[in-house]
Amino acid sequence: MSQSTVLTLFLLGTAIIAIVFWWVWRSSYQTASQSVEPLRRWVFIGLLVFAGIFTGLTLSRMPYFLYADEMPARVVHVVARQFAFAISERPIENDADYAAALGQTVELPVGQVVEFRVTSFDVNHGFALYAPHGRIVAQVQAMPGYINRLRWRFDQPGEYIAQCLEYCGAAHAGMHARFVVK
Amino acid sequence: MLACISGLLLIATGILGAQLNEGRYYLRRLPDVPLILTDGEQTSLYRFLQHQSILLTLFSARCGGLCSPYLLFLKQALGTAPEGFTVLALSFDSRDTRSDVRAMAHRLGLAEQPGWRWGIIPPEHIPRLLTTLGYSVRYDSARREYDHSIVVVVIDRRGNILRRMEGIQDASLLKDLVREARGEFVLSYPLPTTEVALRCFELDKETGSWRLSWGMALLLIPPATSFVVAVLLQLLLLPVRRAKSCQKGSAC
Amino acid sequence: MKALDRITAAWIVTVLLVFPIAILLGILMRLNQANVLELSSLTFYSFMTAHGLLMVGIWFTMSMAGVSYLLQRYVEVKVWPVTLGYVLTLVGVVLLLAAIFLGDFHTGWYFLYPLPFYARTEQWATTAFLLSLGSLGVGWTVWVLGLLVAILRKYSLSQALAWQHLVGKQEPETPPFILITTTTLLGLVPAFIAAVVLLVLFFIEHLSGVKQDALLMKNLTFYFGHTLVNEMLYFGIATLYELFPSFAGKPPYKTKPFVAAAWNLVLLVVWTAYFHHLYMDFVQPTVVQYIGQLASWIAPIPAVAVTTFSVLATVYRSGMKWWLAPTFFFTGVMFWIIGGLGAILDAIVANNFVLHNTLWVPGHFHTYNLLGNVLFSLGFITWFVREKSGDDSSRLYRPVATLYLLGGTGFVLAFFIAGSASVMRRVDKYPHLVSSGSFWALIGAIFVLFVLTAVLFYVFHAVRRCWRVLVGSS
Ligand code: HEM
Ligand SMILES: [Cu+2]
Ligand SMILES: [Cu+2]
Repeated sequence: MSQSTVLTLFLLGTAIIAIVFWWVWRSSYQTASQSVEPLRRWVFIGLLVFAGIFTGLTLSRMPYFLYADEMPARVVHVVARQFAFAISERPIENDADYAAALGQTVELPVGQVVEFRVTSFDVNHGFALYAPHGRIVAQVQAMPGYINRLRWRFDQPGEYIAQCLEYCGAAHAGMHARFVVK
Repeated sequence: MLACISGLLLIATGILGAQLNEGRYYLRRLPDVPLILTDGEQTSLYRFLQHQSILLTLFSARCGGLCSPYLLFLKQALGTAPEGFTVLALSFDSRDTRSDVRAMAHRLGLAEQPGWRWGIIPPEHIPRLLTTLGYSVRYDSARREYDHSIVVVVIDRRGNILRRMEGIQDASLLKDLVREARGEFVLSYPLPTTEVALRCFELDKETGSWRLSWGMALLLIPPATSFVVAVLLQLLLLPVRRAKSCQKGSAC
Repeated sequence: MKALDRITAAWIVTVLLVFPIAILLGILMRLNQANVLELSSLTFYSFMTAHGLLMVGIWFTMSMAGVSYLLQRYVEVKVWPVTLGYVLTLVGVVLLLAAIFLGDFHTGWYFLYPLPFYARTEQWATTAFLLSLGSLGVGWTVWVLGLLVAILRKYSLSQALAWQHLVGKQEPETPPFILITTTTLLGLVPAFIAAVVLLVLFFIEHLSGVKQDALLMKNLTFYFGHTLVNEMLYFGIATLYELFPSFAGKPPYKTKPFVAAAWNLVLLVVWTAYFHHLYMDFVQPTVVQYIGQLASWIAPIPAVAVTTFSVLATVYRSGMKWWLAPTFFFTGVMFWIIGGLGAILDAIVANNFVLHNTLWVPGHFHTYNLLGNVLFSLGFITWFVREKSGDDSSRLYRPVATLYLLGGTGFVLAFFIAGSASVMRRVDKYPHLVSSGSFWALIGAIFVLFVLTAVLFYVFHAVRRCWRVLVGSS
């Protein structure tokens, strides 16, 4: 689901909830008491069916195995460290590699699968990809001691921003890197 | 005996070579070198790959050092009939002949195994392959011994390096490579160089899947302790509850 | 009895005095994000850390205090655990504020490992912070155990968990209040133990330098942090079960079999819900992620079907008289499930992929805190004030309810909208990338002013009356 779909669903659901509560609240000014207990079972069953279907449908869209059976055209190494990302097509294994990679701007192909191998040299960071239209399209955490692999296909060319999305200290807000997709 | 020595050697080199240097080689494509397999089949690497994913390793039949123990380690870790991929063991030594290699395979008990194939490469093609693999070989004439890398690589059907492991690592990392060789996508893996006190999950040496580790046991402390606390309170306060119901005059 | 009145009044006074200060910190953060103010990054993050910890701290303890007070309707409640909880909480908070404001401790409220070791913080401040958590931990654990003992002195464990009702027996009767309180207390014990393990590992690294596994530490952090925040809502629900029917002039709720089943289920699965904090940690085994999504979706259903339905059924055509306390509870339930809707949408892994750590997250948790759990506690306080002073706060009813609910709604909506526009949480200044962030921050800040006004009126009113209870003049 895109972010705007989620927001729409949320506002819709909120409206329904609010209307039900408002309606019940209005009814409280009458006193003709009437038992609604038999309804409870149906509410329960209804919720269960709805939740089951909804969560079942979305489970199949887990991001963990995106493009898992395709061969990535490019592998990009990402190391996060307070407060910058080193992104490089060459592996970043030590401080020297990290320093060398800092200045570079990586170019990635449009329409092909790219694999990011993401880790951190100090604290937990986030690695979120903001498309040129300004929305997040994908993200993964950068955890020290582990390499997380994120595969993604960029369908839109342009300048992308990788922004840190896990609070990592006072300069967290400015922790980002650019790369170009063309 | 052999197992003993290999054990010691493994520990020694494991400490030296604890670097997962694979990134530099990822997706490099190996050259299509001709192969002469011990069963007489003449083929080429790419043709061989058409039918199977492989885990490739190199050795010399004349090596008195690490080669045999390392191959035994692989035998133990991968089994004689690994599922979903083939182990291809090639000689990097231009002096080795087909029969040298066959003899070596026999010695290790790996000659007639379906999952293991052995072969040599025509000498003029060896350097190309070694360079792409990042495999270094040096002959130490003083000790009359080879000084060479220990490398296994996972290769896909187009000849690309998918994963590469250098040095002798914990067998769990090898299993990680094996999953990749079977065509599974390994979402995340620990960095072998980071030393930490306890981990939650480790790769199981036997099955190649994640298994609970001592770190996870720490995660079990809270519910377990709470359970004990609840039961203890229940039992300790039993007399109090009894006394209370007696006061109320009910039978006790 | 008298002593319990006093300590309850002491809690109310303390919590209500800290609340506006914590709100003020929140407003300052929002104004800084709106570029109206210029705080240094360090100041901003100190405020953020203080705000989060203070809010979680005061509303957790207030919900505990409310439950402790109401518990005496059924069992004998000893005062000393409540008092000890109070004293150790004060000690903890003083240490905490010192660490934050004198020692620049600024790691956010859940101090995710290994950030405390990398942040530019005074060395002693990290120690003070860990000690402060230790003090809070000990105080709260003793308090929780004290209440458990009080219950188990009368009810056996199976009775307290209403297992006899599960199988359809009527006798002996377990009131829903006892059932919910017991499941909540039992859910909290492991969370506190997880915190102890976490603290020990932190101390080991602090003293010896041996590194810990970041994955393990993150699991422990949310085992503790998520569960604490989750359970404090259930205390609010327990209070609601106890007080709400009487507001509608109805007999107390009974523990029907489905009620018993629902809360036993909650006890079983509540600890799995924290998994959704690690969705974007691909190293967490994937089965755990599946369980996380399923648990996040299935677990709330009983709560909704049981609690929400009961509240609506109680109000429906009841002819009840509305005043501040029932209004707080009623709207609290409404926003609780609205916040829950925001939460489960984000608990779909595929959505979390683009919403994780955006303002959507503060959006949903402020909905069910500020407009849910806090309202449950305020409902209890309003009721308590009426019990003790006879004043039903009727002069405050319309202005306070309107300002608080209106302001609160606008405030959280600004979070939700910005979050769906990919504006990230926990940044002091929004980068160009998400420049709409500062607009929504301003909107949020303006709406909060309504909330603050309502809160100030309310605090003035309630604190004066509770103060009298505290010093013992009637
Ligand atoms: C009108 C009242 C409130 C205001 C104005 C307010 C404002 C804020 C703001 C601006 C943030 C930072 C958001 C960001 O990440 O950019 C925040 C975070 C937070 N708030 Fe509130 N808040 C209020 C009430 C509450 C309540 C009632 C609670 C809990 C019971 C609460 C708990 C938290 C927590 C836990 C955080 C996260 C801190 C962190 O990220 O470390 N807040 N709040
Ligand atoms: Cu960062
Ligand atoms: Cu960051």
